[in-house]
Amino acid sequence: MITIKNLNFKYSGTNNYALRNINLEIKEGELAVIIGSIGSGKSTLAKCINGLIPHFVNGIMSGEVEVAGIKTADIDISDISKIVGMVLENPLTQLTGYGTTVEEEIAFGLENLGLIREEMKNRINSVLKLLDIEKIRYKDPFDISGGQQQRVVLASVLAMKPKILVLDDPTSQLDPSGAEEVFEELKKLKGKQTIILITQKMNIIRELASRVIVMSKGKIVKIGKPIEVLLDYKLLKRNNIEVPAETELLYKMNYNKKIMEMLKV
Amino acid sequence: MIEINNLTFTYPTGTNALKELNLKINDGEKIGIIGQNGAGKTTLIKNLNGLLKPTKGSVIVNGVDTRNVQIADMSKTVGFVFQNPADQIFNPTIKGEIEFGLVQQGFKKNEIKHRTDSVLKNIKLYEKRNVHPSNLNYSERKLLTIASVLAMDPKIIIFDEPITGQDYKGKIAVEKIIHSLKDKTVIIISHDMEFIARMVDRIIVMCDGRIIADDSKIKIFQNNKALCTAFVEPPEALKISKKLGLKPCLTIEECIEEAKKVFK
Amino acid sequence: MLTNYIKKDSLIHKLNPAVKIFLALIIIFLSFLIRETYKLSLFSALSFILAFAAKIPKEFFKTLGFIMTPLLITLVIFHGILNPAATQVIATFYFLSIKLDGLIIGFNYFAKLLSFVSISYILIFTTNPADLVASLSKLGLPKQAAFVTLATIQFIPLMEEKAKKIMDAQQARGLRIIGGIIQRIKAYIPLLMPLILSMLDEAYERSISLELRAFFSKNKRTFFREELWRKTDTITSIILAVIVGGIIIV
Repeated sequence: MITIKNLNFKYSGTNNYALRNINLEIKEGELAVIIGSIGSGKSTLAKCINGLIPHFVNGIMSGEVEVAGIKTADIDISDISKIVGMVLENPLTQLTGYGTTVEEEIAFGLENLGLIREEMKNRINSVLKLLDIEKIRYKDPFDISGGQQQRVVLASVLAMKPKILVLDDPTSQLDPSGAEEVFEELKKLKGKQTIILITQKMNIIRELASRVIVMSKGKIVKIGKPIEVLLDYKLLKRNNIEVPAETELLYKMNYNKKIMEMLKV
Repeated sequence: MIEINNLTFTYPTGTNALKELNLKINDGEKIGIIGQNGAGKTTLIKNLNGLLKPTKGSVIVNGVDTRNVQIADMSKTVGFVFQNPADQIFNPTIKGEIEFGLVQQGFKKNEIKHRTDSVLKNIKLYEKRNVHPSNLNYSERKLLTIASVLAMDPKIIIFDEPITGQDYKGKIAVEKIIHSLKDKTVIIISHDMEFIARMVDRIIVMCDGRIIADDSKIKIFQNNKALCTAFVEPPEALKISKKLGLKPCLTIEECIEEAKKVFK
Repeated sequence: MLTNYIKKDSLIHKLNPAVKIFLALIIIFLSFLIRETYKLSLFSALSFILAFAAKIPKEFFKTLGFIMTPLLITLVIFHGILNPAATQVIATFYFLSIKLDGLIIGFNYFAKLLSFVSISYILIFTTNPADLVASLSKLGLPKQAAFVTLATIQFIPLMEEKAKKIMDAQQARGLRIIGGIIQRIKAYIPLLMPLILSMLDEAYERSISLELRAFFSKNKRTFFREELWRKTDTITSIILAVIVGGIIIV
């Protein structure tokens, strides 16, 4: 679904490359999680997948990014947005304020796509149901909780039926129950949608990820199953990533078999 | 000392954010305030430095009633580190940013220089003191806002979500600074329970404008009813120590120590 | 809510936005053209009546008063004292003399502004932003411009919110905003920088959001909300046309 070959990128006005020699393949239906410290290049990579780089952001890009068989450099962002949907950190800057209800907010993207009213209504009904937000259909998007707002943003993006969904730290501005709401929705989508999730929340990764991609200083340093990556104390420490409490314990206790059993690792 | 008597606060939009709160905080205490968004945590702390004045009831800080004082005067006693550094930073140099508060407070020139230099060295940004804040990364900017507050040397310091949006390195830097505030009263709002467990001794749990629990951290994190009502999860270390049958531990370091005793 | 739209169930709210847009454009145009202060006041009066009909008199007059009162004072005093063409002195204050014809000129400018601002607020307060953008687009305005109009209307409450946050943060650092005029002016510098920077940042993020929702795509746009032209719209248009025409001729 996504093929990245020899991708390098440098933001204009900076000296260092934000992405170095990235090679990656994401299969259809995967839920890949990208982790890394600030400055590791995760958000930059996300922007390459949805076309913001090179179309919106200035810099020097080399290499190839292909989504659903189409090279991102060859088409407009508006066309890429039909293939790749993106959810960002801050719900407040993603809600367009178009109209005064959740329904109208979701309709915005569909209007831009030029869909007929019947089709718009169908899609809106189905995402409202899917994300469990039918009860706030007529509410003002600025009058609901953070978790609900991110779900509305997610709904607006999903209504456009993108083949790939990218989420860049969608829960860092939310409180734990709001974050929980968003992760519940992602669980529902797992397998049905190709998803790339960037997050710092280690406990979620185990449940959600089919693969974990570890980035550091613009490079991919490891790709592996969640269990492999999350228990690798040295890998995480070396790349400045927060070590989950369990991993810290297991490492310091030399991966004691009994403990691993009791923790159901 | 902070004394809160029957504090009720209603926003002009009609939202009743605080309902008859009673609370006493002694000098030097380290307190965490937890609860869902909308529980009233931020409203409560804004009442502590006069940013918000009580609708009913009173807040008395070191003998001074907040209703009778200007916010600028409260800032000498109560330092407030806001969640978003962008809301505060405006000076073209880091040094200037720290000096700003001191100038407002009317300190003398050498006192200002002394405090600025010492706090800059403390957060390890002394070399960058003439640099423009836009050249700092998020963590450094956060440290800068903390430093600007510390330079004024208030007795009480409030942190509103100090580690949201930070990576591991940033978190550690903030933890270090807060740990160094030994004789100050520290009040922290955070959603990160591990962080709270390491920083404070006493925890106040809020829900729907009220305080539903106020106790030592170990008791609070084992008070399942309160945690549930407030939609808060206890720290991972506690869950792990339970699974392993150890005595309840709030930090992973404690857990490891206990585990070493039990699992040979 | 981001915009200044006030949701109520009234005749004016139900009017097709095109009617309101045209009314606003015509009155704004006439506000500049017409010189007679009494005619300009009649336009304002029309807006006041519409405010009652739209069930928003409280919000309307509060906002209007807030914006227009300082303008009234400034304009009247400015022209009353400083306009070089004015000659009929009616009072003297130290070295400043207040001239009657100056005051009248000042009041005339105020009447123009009031007429212009009043009808603009009626449009903004009673029209759902989605409908406003849709109407403007249908009337031929390119969608970028229509959205920019929307963004501008949204801008003010956003800026107010942000300004309040920044003001809180700076006051908590000892900035005094109560005090003499010089004190208050000095206080604005620590407010402006973070405000401008954060508004720019937010604008940047918002434009990314628009891109991601295919806003800039070249294909034709469709509309979710149904927009009907009803009999009431035709009748109201005729009534309003008669009233405005009447004011011009009177």
